[in-house]
Amino acid sequence: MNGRRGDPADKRYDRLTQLQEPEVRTRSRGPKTRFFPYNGPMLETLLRTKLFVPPLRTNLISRPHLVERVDQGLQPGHKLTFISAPAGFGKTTLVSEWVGNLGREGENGSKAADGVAWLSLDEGDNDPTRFLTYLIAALNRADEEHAAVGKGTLGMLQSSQLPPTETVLTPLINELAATPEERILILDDYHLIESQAVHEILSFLLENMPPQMHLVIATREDPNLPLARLRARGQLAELRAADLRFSPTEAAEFLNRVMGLNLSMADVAALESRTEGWIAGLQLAAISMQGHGDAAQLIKSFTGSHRLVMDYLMEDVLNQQPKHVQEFLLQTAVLSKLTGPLCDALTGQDDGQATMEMLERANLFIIPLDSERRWYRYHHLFADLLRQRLKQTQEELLPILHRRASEWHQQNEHVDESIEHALRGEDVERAVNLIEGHVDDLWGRGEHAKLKRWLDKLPETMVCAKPRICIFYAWYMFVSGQHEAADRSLQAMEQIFDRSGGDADETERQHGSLLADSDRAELQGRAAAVRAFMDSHQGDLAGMIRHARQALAYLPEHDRTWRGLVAIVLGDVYGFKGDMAAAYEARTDALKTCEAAGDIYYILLASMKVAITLRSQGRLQLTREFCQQQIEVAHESGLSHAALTGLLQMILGEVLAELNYLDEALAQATEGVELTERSVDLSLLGWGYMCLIRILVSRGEMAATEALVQKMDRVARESQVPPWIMNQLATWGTRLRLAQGKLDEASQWASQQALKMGSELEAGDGIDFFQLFDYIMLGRVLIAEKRLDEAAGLLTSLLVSAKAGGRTARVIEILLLQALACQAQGDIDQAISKLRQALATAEPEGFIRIFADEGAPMARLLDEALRRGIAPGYVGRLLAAFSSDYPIPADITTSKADPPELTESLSEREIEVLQLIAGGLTNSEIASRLYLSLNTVKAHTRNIYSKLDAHNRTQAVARARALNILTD
Amino acid sequence: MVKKSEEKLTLDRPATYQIELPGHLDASWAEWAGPTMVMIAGERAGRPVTTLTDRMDQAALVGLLRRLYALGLPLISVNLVEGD
Repeated sequence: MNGRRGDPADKRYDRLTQLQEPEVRTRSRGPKTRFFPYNGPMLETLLRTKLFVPPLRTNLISRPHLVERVDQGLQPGHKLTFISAPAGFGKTTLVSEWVGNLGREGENGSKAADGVAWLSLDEGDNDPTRFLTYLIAALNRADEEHAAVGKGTLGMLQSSQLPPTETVLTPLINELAATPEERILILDDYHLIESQAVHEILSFLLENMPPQMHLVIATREDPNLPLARLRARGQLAELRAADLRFSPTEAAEFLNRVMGLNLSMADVAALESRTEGWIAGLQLAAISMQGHGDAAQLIKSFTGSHRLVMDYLMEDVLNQQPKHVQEFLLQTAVLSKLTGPLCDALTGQDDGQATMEMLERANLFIIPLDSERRWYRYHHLFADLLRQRLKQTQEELLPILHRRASEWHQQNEHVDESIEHALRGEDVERAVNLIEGHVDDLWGRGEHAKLKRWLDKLPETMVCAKPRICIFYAWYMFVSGQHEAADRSLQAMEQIFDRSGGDADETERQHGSLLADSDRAELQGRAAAVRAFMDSHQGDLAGMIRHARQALAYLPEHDRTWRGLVAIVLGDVYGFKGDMAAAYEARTDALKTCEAAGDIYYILLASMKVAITLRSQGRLQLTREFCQQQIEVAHESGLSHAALTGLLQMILGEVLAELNYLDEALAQATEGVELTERSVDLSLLGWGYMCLIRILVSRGEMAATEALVQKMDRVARESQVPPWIMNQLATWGTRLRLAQGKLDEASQWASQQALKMGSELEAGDGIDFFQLFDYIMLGRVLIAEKRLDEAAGLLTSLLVSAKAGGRTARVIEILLLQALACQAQGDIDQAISKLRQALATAEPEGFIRIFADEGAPMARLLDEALRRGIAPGYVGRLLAAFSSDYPIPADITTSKADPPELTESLSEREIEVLQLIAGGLTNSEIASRLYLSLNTVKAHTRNIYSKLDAHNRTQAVARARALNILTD
Repeated sequence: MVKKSEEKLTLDRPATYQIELPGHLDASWAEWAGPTMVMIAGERAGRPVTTLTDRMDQAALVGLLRRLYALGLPLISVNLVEGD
């Protein structure tokens, strides 16, 4: 596990201790699954333009004083350069110029300097998955010489449920921290981001990014980021409209040199004052004047007019253009990005490329997006004005233009754009049909937020009328906890299924509102699968079985993801019933199906279920290997921070505890619990706590156990926790009461429990997975209450049930309790016989703590077994575990309030040995002091421990002092 | 009887707002702002002012302010009109 020490990448652990990744603990294996869409089909050619630094125009007003201000953001301690001003103040141009200055000589800004990542945002980036995909693509494009970053984060984006921000970003931040090179990330047009999820991502990045990283944000509006905090800490370099407006000198240079006008200083001053330094306004004015013979006259009427700057100039500039250019501008204004063929599709002409090049030469607010000048966009302000004018003059064209754009993008397989244009053209029918055709892909890629955003723009009746979309909606609602909405949409689907049945109206079917038989079966299967999950959430076994079977009957073989989901539910049916053989078969099948489908989230979910099953079957070694292997799969897929990975770690930790590796167990579980606690799924959390409690009990950490039980209790009071978790916690609480000697409280729990469970025990196989734990605890209480006959009767029935269910770990526990009950009754032979059975079952897998946690009475029994020569090697190992450094749970020093009497008093010789132990002498020192052999001293100490119910020297001394056998 | 002015302003309840902008907008802009909007070119302290008046809820109001900003139009005032 230390293989990565010394690796320079390990600096990350020093710097960001709160963001540590769990290390991979097993030998390296080939990855089982690959999900990384690295620069893959997701980043189509069109959208790569988002990553290009906009090329600078050759004839530029250089603004060195502002470039210097942007530079301040790179100073040590600064995190962010924040540029916030309205449209038309030259934000993008300024940042491009600054980037150009950072680059090497000879590069004219089309290629970023090393380590400079540019991302032009658009509305689509409100989907956190898409935003992060582009952000990582931008970082990697900027730094091609170094290893790509963000593999882990991208892997997580592929999972069906987006993990919490911190989980997603931690691996990326650690990778960024691991490279010493300076990195600059530029986000242009940040005002287009409205999604709180994206703001959160950026806030987290700002808070945690390494010092060699800097962020530049250009925006029209101050976003919901912790700007005030950064300002207060002096980590912010800020430029606003007042900084960006053209000074009179700049205005003069722009108007006279760049735009080739020959204006007097007075004219320049008048224009600068009238436009208030607004660059777009000056540019409009200049273009307007270029078309007029008499510039002075224009300036006079313009500055004398009360009309708004852009209102006045816009019309003038547009009117100056030839008719066909005006038409081109208006018609293509609906596009957020322009390219020749797309423009031609909208205008019906064939001069799109040439027109755009002409517009660029004429400074008509068109901006090339790549150095080949294939893609352009209009200046935002100009585009707004054009769209505005189009709406005023030819509103009837709008739907037609959007439809053409949507069709062109569809033909060029730009799915998102084709859907966006259909939505903007309010062509609901077209939008729904397009979404329907891609919903499975988008769903599979985890772009849930985007899908949801589109669906929100459509009437619910349209969404529900398309079962393929509706099923996504139902699932999305279910996983986000809105069960009623999920139920509603499922009902809507089920009505369609009914109507699409055998005797459906043929005309309706042809009309497309009904389903073809194969589609219907598939969707009906998915709907049943969602129903099965909803049943599972409520613990409705009958419903789970009915819906899961229905789902499998309908779902086609190739629909692996859904078949995998259903297989998981079916495995749960057997698991809940306590039939481990059937559960194992169903759950390994589920895992295979999920692996074939390739969704890592479901692979981990199925893995977790397999691990729990293996553990219940008592296959400790296999559980351990399997958990290690699947944790590694999670790491390789970038899901090292997922809650499910955390739970696998906790299950692994619990197995390690059973094997008596108590420190390793705690280390695993501590890492795991942090991840699990972030989960919204409280059943994951509950299961994780159960594992941790078990580890803490084995370590004798009673106070920590108690604290954990109470913590979960608080969680339960604040939110809806599945009832089985609460039951299990109460059961563990009872074990604590017993260990503390609080028999009254334990008895109280037991009598409630006996009432609740009552006659079910008679049925024998009616004991489900969780009930068995409760019944076993009941047996413990009965033994403690000395109701030994009742205990024996109960345990006999439980043993039958546990054996029938193949629940070997519980079989061992029950045998041990039977042995202890016999011992308490004084029937040592019968006790040894039960112990012998337990040893035979437990030895092959190396169980240890299940014996050691039973405390002193078990130690005495094992001593007896050793004396009788039963499995001496194994029993010796078990006894060694008793005298480890960890106190056992039945540690009576934790119940000082009510110390029970010694069952057997110490002999004089034993007291003598104990006094020497208290004096700090070693066993051999004691042996020589008392003229005894070392073995005799050891025998005395073992008896002392046994009589004092202690397991090490410290405990024995403390206990003896508490009982006044020793005085201080 | 609850007087109008005492009615609680809520996020969902439409109310009438008046927005003042410096300068004069061409009449063709009225339609851009919506069919129910009243646009008046006037003066305030000797300076030209355009007043937009419309009944809208908070979402519409914020949307309108954003569109004005996107068009590069600064605001002089935004007022809730009483007695509506």
